[in-house]
Amino acid sequence: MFSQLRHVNEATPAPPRRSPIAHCLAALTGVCLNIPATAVERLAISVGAVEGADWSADAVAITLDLRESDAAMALRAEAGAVRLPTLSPLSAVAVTCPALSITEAGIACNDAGAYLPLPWLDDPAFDFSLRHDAAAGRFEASLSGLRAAGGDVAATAGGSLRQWRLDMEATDLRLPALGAALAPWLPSLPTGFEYGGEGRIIATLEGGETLGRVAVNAVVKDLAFSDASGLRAGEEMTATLDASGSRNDHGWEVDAGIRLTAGAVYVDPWYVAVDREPLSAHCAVGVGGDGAIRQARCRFRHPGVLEAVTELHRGPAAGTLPDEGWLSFSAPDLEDTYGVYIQPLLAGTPGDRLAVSGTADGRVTLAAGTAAGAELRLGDVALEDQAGRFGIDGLGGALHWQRQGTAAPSELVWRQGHLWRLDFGSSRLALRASAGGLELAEAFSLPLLDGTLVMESFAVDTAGDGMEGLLEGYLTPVSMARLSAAFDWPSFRGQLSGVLPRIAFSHQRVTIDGALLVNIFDGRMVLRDLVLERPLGPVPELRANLDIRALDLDLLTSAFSFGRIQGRLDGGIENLVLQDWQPVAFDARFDTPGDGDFRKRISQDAVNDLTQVGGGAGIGGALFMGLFKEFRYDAIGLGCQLTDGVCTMSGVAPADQGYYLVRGAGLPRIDVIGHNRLVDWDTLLTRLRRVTTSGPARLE
Amino acid sequence: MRPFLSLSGVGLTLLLSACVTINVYFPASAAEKAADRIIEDVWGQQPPANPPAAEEPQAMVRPRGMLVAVLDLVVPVAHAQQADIDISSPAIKKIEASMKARHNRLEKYYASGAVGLTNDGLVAVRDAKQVPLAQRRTVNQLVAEENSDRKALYRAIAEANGHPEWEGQIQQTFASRWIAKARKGWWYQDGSGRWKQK
Repeated sequence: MFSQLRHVNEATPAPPRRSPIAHCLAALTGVCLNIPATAVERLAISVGAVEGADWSADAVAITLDLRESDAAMALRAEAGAVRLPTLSPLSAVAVTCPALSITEAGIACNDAGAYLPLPWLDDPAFDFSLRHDAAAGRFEASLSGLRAAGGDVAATAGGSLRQWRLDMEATDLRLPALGAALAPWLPSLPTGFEYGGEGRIIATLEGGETLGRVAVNAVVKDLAFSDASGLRAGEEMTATLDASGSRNDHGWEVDAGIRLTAGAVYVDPWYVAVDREPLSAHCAVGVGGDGAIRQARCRFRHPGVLEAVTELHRGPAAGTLPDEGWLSFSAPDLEDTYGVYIQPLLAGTPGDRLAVSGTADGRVTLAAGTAAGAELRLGDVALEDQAGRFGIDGLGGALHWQRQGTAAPSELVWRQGHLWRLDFGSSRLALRASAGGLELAEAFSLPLLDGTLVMESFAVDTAGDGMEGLLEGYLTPVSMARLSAAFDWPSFRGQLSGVLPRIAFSHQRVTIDGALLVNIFDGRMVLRDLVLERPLGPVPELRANLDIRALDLDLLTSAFSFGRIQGRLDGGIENLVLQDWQPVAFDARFDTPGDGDFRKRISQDAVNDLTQVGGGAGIGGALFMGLFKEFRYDAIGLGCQLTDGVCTMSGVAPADQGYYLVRGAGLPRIDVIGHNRLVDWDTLLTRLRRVTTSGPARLE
Repeated sequence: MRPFLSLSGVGLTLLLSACVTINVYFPASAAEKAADRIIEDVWGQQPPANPPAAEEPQAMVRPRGMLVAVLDLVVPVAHAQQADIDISSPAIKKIEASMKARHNRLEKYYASGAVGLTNDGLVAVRDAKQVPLAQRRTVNQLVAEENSDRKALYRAIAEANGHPEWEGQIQQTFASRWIAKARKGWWYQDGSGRWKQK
């Protein structure tokens, strides 16, 4: 009915009761009317258009019914179209006040109704009351029955222009509708961003000439959101927001806290679900008059998983955000902290499948927008790579770093650990960290299998592109039995030791200058030019050259349950490449030394084993062989050049249609001749393993 | 002097132009075949029948004049590489096995469109909304691990063939072969990076 406008200009004579009315109307409409007040009982005014500086109203009709009672009159004001700043044009606006009282004491309008077809109102009609006490300079207003954003809104306001207060409560709000209603005042959301949920908001605003204090409490249920990609999303969340702000001499003090009591959030790459206690974040922020944040103190709590506190303030050169202060964090249980926050960052790296336990806490200080110092304390940390590449337990200590000056000493201790299958023992590492890297504060010794790796100096440079480091030290003897067991090699006997004048690592490559010496089988092997590529990658690669000198074949063959051979052996393995600790290429050559005085005998068993390794039937068929347990030989020689899984074989010297592996001497003479130059490496290994583990079938 | 200078100039030019630049060309066709074999293995198609295994080795001891033991260290050898691209190194085999094991978990995400094949031979989360919220991290992890393996695979193939500089070309070869062999309904990036469905 409000939409029907009447274009009536009606003046009915009435007793002279309400002399201020004409003035009032004039003030209300901006139209000066010369009406004989004494004669008016019902007044209807129609105006084509009214305009202000930034508003206008067309087809305005105002009706005043003066006959209601002595104290009040009924007002009805309508407009065909209204234009207000920031709003789209409204059509058919109406206000009714059934009992409007305008007296010297003030204005009162109770049980009034309004019809405002605002796009964000679900129902354009709502109720309100208004009272103004002219003597006290105070007003009271209330609003109810407002349906907006799917919910109900009620508000009361009161006070004076110097001190007023507005209380508002909105219940059952639907967030998308609320967002649409507030869209003109909110930053625009990215394309494809969707959200849903229901909420309740209670807000209080207080002020005088300007806004002085705001307090908001909001509870949102069934909150869900997602961006177009789904990489930032939340589901089934319940959140409570408490925020308050008050103006002070400098600007605003804002105190805001949010608690997530149910639901889950995925912000790539992190997924956080509330399962036990709520997650909460709280900030107290000081905002300057220029809108820039002067200082902030924030606390984030993910109970049992991560707690962080930060206090920041604005340095002299800062922009709108504070750039000086500190952040401290503590992880009471690294298993959860790793699972929720750290592991997603490490996906696809060697650190992404760890079993972790222990505690950690730390602190980062910030100056002029960059980290000025950091410290990290670890408590009884255990790490175990689930691919078995590395592990450590009982790890504790503290690391200190600072950009300028000397940081406090750092120290790490641990009970034990392993790198691949190399076990190492308890040790203490004292370090000094500086802007560009990390260095050893004192010599460090690491029990490695049954030896010790001593590092005399160690420095890591983190300043450049990636991490680079240098290490100098030596290795005291490690038994080869332990080492070969660690790598699943056939069991060697002997000792490994070495001087490591320089171990450099950078870009996933470890280069070892110097040499590792293996005292083995009464001879020695020297391992040099060691390079380890991607030691923690999926397929580590080791390259090296190996010189072998004067191995005692008697010791060697007995160690491997191989048929007995007496003599010495020199040799070398050039360009050895191990991938995943398995040989893929080398150029190996073993020969009886030309010099030296030693006994050269090969047993019948050894000949047998050699032929078995070669895939032959052995010499068991030759019965007369039983007469001779061993044979003299002149030279043993074996070469294998491995590429593409195939060994290109060579021997002591060429033979008729082949090559001599064993060139006999004296009588009875036995020559072992290889006929095939190309041998499948895997088959050769399998046979060698069979012979050396089970032992050959002995001829009696 | 001048004729001599110009003659010697011509001679020098001829000499220089006679210099031969030796290029080692990337064996594109062989690389495609190698890629197809790996893809079929990882994605579970039967590779074409292998050449029959070489015969069991034989060795024997036979007396020859004097007592001579003859050792035949023999040949079940040489699956002679028909292609010029070797994919038999332990590194390649290990990465391939790791990718094959992961494929069981990734396959449903290819099928749902959550994960797609990129035009540079890797995989990417294409539409995380296809995955329940709690599983998005798993998908992220699978994609990161798969990409780590794929990069390691391309590098390992280049290195196994003695041409580390081929890594980029091998990656590009794989990029087109993964897409060519993708199942119907899977998503892939075209040359300009737009997602398309097979």
